[in-house]
Amino acid sequence: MAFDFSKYRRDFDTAFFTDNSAIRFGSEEHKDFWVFCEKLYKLKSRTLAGRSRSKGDLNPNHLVCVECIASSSGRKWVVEDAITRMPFRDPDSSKPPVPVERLKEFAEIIAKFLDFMQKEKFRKLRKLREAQKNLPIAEHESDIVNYVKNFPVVLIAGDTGCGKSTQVPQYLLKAGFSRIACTQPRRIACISLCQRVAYETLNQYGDEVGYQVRFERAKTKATRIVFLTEGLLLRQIVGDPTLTQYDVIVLDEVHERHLQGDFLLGILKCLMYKRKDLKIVLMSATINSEMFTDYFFNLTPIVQVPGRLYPIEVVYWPVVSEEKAGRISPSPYIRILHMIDEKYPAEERGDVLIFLSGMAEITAIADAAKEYAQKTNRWIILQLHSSLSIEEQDRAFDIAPDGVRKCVISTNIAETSVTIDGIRFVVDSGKVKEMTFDPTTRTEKLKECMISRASAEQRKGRAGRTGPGICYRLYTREEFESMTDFSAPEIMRTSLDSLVLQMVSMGVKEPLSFPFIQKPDSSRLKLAMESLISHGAVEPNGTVTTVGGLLAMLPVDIMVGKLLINGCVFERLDKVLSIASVLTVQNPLTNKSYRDPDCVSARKALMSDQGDPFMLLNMYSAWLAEKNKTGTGSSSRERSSTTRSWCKRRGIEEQRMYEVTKMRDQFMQIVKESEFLDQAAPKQETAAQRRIRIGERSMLHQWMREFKRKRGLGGEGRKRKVLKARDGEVASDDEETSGKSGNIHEAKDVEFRMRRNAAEIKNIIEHDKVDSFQDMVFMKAILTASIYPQWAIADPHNNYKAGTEQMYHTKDKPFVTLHPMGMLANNPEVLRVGSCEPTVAGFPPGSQISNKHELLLYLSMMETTRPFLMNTARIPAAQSLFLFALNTDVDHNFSRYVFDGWLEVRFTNPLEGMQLLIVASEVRVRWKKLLDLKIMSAGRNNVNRKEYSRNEKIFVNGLVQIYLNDSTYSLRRLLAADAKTMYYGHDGTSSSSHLPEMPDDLNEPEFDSIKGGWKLSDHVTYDCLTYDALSSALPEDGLLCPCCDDFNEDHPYLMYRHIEYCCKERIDQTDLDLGERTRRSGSSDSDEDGTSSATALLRKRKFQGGERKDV
Amino acid sequence: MDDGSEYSKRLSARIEEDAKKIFHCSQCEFTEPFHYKGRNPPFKRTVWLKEDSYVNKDPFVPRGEGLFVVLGSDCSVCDQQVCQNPGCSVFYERRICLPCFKANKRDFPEKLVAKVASKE
Ligand SMILES: [Zn+2]
Ligand SMILES: [Zn+2]
Repeated sequence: MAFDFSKYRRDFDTAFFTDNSAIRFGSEEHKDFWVFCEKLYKLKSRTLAGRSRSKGDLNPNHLVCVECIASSSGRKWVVEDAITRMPFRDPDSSKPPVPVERLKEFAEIIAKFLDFMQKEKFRKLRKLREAQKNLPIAEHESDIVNYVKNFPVVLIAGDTGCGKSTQVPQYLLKAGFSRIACTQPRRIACISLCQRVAYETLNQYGDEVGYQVRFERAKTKATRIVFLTEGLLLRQIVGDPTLTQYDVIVLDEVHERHLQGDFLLGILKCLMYKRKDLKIVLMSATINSEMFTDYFFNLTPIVQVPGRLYPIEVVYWPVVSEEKAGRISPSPYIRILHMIDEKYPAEERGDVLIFLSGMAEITAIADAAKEYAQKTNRWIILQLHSSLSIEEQDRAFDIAPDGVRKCVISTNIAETSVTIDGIRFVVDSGKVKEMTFDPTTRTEKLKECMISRASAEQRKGRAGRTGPGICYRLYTREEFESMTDFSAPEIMRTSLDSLVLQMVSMGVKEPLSFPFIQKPDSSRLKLAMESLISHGAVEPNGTVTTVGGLLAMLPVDIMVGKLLINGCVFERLDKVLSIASVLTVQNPLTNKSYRDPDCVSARKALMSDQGDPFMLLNMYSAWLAEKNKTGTGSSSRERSSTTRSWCKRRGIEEQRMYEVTKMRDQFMQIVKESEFLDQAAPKQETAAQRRIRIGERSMLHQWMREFKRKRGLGGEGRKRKVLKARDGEVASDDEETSGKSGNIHEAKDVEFRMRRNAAEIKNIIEHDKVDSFQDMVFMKAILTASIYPQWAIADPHNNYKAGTEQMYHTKDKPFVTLHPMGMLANNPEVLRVGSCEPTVAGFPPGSQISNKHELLLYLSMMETTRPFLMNTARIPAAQSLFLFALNTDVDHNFSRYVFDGWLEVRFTNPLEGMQLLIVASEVRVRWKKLLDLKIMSAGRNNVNRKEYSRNEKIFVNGLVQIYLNDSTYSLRRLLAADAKTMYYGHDGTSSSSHLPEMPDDLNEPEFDSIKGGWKLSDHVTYDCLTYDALSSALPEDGLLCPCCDDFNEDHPYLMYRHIEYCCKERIDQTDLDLGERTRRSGSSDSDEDGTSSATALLRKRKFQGGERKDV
Repeated sequence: MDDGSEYSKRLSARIEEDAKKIFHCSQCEFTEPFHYKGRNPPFKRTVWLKEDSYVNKDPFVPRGEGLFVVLGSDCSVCDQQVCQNPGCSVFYERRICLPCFKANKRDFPEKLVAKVASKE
């Protein structure tokens, strides 16, 4: 009988396996050993009754030496050593002690196992090398190395699957190059390529191969190849203009023509002259490789590497006309599935990949296909698009069981970004949804259009990767031939704001003369420059502002960047991080969230009538609170299902909340890395708290490891699983909960808790509250400042009734509506202008006079079927205009104001307008000052606290005073026709050809010859607006200063200068901290800020308390 | 290990030096740098091999595990480097490359000869 060693496992473990033994106790190998042992036992008991080799006869085929597996103390007969460690056994025990022969036999099994493992490992290594050798690119290795050694630029044109991305870096490494940078357009590719190349160079656990992407890096001094994103290399150029840290730059996927890739090409082309030793390797698809060689003056050797494709038959199968109209019809697609069922036996494998233009189309076809699958039981329908979670996307890579085909319905993501094996049939709709950006109206347009020929070929190619295939094109051959050669590169379609900012901050003075591989329209560049100026990132003269310089360094778009900066400056970073994150992530509300009355009422407590950003912030805080409610006591399953059903009841997609959390962490990291934030030291935790936190974390880590192991995630990559077909659908997550390994929702919960402990969550919730008036003022100011100039004015004919659409106008685009998934679109009542007074004489007919006019802030304008405003928030009109508009034009009487040439405000009392203008100007000055103070001290952590807080006090007081302002005024949008006659112009037919003289006025206002008025500051032009019939006259008894109550002056300008002084003193000296009125200093320390001596003369009496308003 | 840092320093220096050496199978062109040649790999002192072999640290597991992979050794007859691949060499008490094995069939048990022949 064979001896069953596993019955004595504990004894043998003690005797043979220690931390230093050949097989380490507790290691993976140790586990494998026992599996091996078991198999051996079964084999033996089956095959023989006694054919065991005579004891001590060592197998001559084993390389590993059993008799002397060394012990820690030196070379020793392993069995001898084992005997000494064999646990003592009670002679009365039911199990007899193990005889020495068995120990020898066991030692032999160890040797057999080690030998077996050696062969396995070697086979794995050899297989890897053979696979590499068999790649199409392998035969070009010596060419590539020679070219790179001898030419400054080399182009490798190879199709997907030729192995260029993984092999070329290794060839270079082998040839002795080091300091190699490989760029990738996608960050995920950097990580996976790094892993792959590290694996293939047997460096998986070393650091020769590294990667660096936003938020993550795995790179040390020993790193010789680094994979990084195009964007990151660009940012490295900012700090290291000649890229001295690299010897070779490999730009991969240049044919994808991403904005940053194009920019990099241009920069490298310039760099070639400065760094003659730099080697540039371009890698592209074969399709348009000439374009790149042309760009480098045709001096570039090309290595052409055709991909390995099996023959593919193309079938043109145009959609019949009645199926073309309106919504996408599933019948052509189902017909093809049906045809495949008829024509090809089920045993013949081969899956289907359908290319559609967008998510709505995918859902429509998937629904019909699932129905068909239910009838036939021969299909599994899977979807693939970028808004699915990673786990859901992974399913598309799983394998269908025998007799069943999988049908993957995908966007163009499966065209180049991901590769699905086993596809035999491709169905190409010929359509793609493309996002284009119209810079004149700042609108994003999502349009469905025909793909390019290059895309069509790429889609077709997906059918021939594992065997001969068929591509069904749902369009005619003529349509195919009329397609454009290539899709329009990003530079022709997207907003160039970030690009131009980066260029300008890198010292490219004239973006127009930059050597782009394909020049964008000059108008696009010009508009981008204008947009940057309006964002305050670039001065009108073309130099970068401090904020602009900072923005160029932040790897986020300009508006988010401004949010983060402003959040830092005003020390409200926590809230701003949350707001920026909720605004960046997709809308978390599900389609039914506004339709289902239960959802609406369940969500009531989370509503904010201020708009989407505030509602989303509430929602996120409430979700965090819900997460915290279910503390560590309950199981992770309970926890995850609680918040999940909480979300479901409210019509919220929980996935988005997790995304917000991740995004928030990323933004936080950006802020930290930018060293802009002088962070308060983290609170000290007690030893006990620390123990709890660490214990909690290690528990969570353990759970996650287990989860990943069971699901086959992590490690060398996820293993493909066999799909379960059930009514054509894949088993849903709910069913998976029955499994022991835990479900995906639990995993998300655990991951979330690894990022955040309860105390941190509490902290965020605490900080995210916007409940005081001052909080709201600050958040609105920060939002408005960051999103300016994206605001819209309501149409006067809006009725604000529930269920109706409200019209809005932006500066460049009239008549747009609110996006139906927005909070305000669903609650239009809150948009009604409050406290309206009937029209008064002297105001445009039909205009409303109120102190509650509002504008709508919008994060973006998106055009699908129509243009929509997305993520809107209400902001007070006059207040925001005075604070943020780039240009403020004033009439002679200070009663009429035109902002940015399109929004007009008329005050019933000119003095109130004057006052608002003055306080707002002061706030703007302080704001800038605070920003400069913060930025200047960035990284040095020594903000001039005293100066900072003095400015801050004035700033806060002014800001609150402005938002409390309740002057009544009218608000209207000016039309192009109005703008023509609005200004006096250069000929100086102004009401007064001179300003009244101010004694000792050193800085007399400059005359603006274009508008015909005087520049009171960089954004205010006085007396440039023509009188219109409606212009209100000044009160007959003259003007009386509202601050000091006894200064009287006829000329509005003199009055303005007086109030300027009076008001400034007032905001400087008052502590307007809301709620708590603190000390009021009697003595004035306000003479420092250069209030001119001229105004001092006008001063009659100092303002002494007695505020007009209850605060 | 308790041998002290001096030892590990020497060790890593030696590993470094060894890494520059390349193993090249005379039979199948398999080429790979190796970390160590000998019977008792320094990264796994408790295992002894029956003959001097070309050894790499196991690239597929973290370094700390101390695992290794044997690439091959020198043929005991012709002294050429030959890899572990069954198509290149046979191990019977010592490594022998396939051509040498064929030339010296009679020195080996019939069973083994038959087994090798059957694989071809
Ligand atoms: Zn070989
Ligand atoms: Zn030989």
